[in-house]
Amino acid sequence: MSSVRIDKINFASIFGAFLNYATTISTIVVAATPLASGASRTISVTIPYSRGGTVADIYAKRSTIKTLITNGGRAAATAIYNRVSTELSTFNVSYSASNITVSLVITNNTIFSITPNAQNIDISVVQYDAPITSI
Amino acid sequence: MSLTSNIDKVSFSSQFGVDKIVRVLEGSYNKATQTSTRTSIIGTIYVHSIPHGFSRPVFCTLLWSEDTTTWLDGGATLSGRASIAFSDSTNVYIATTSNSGTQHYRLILSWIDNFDNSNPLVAPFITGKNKPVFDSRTNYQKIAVEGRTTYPAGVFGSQTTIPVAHSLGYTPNAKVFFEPIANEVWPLNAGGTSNPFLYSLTQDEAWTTIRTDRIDITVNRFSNAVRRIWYKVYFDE
Repeated sequence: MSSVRIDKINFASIFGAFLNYATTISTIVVAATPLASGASRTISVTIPYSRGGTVADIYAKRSTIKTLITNGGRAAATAIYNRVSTELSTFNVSYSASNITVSLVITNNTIFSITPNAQNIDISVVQYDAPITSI
Repeated sequence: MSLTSNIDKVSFSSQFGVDKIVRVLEGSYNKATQTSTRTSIIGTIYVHSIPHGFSRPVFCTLLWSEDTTTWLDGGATLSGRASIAFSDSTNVYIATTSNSGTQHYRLILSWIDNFDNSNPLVAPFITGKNKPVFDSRTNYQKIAVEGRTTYPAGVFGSQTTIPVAHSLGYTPNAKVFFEPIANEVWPLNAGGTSNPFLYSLTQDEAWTTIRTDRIDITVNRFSNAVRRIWYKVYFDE
């Protein structure tokens, strides 16, 4: 089969694609309860996920603002988490054979107790089949 | 009803592009003996290179494992150890923060449309793995907007935001890759001194904020050079 100029193709049966994508959403709920100086709070959600030849993108969304938190190095949690002060926020993602757990870690780096802003952050796992050996 | 204006009812449409996979690499390597090193801000990272066979960089989607049981997506961290993949015109690179043990990888390479104006010929790639190339029973993530832009050089440490408009009216999924180092294509990568993959003080950082009418790509500039960004915004259905 001859080569093609792939830039000119929208859709081709001669190249694979990420197919069968499906999205599962869960919500991290941040409560407005006090957090002592120097303390951290971890809020996690666990989302079922099959590793059977799939890859996943994980997004975080608050209100109408979203960011991709995987496949991009450390998450830009500050783009999503609505701070009340200068507290630090980080998303961590961990995997098991059948689940993905996404955690939001809030650390009070001030010398005072703070009460984080109440907020809901939707975590969506966008899963695709990929042409890889089934894991 | 126009199907193309009700794209959520369509599994795939030849009117809209999809991510095109041009090669899949699977294997493993010894992190102690089959890597070179780069010095990061907070230590050393270990880089394994694999020739990809194309004349330009590709987008990298990485799955990685240390035991072939627990597989992580690129950028994720396992007990403090992380891995990420990027490419240049010759190789794909898998970077890790650990140099002991075996790294297993599944690396899916997809094409960058409009990388430049060269439009090289590319041989078809059909994997022999367990998945069909296309299956009309399944849904595809269809590309609504894709393209290339640049961000300007700036004062060391300065920040700039590059907006890319879309007209979807909802907050879509989107992926962005950029050129933090000349001629290397990375996924967005940010986090300052807590990020092990910011290995020099000339490497730019970037992240994206996706909104209902645009994506904002924010860059912390350390290279003092004009660099490129490639973006894809997807339909929700």
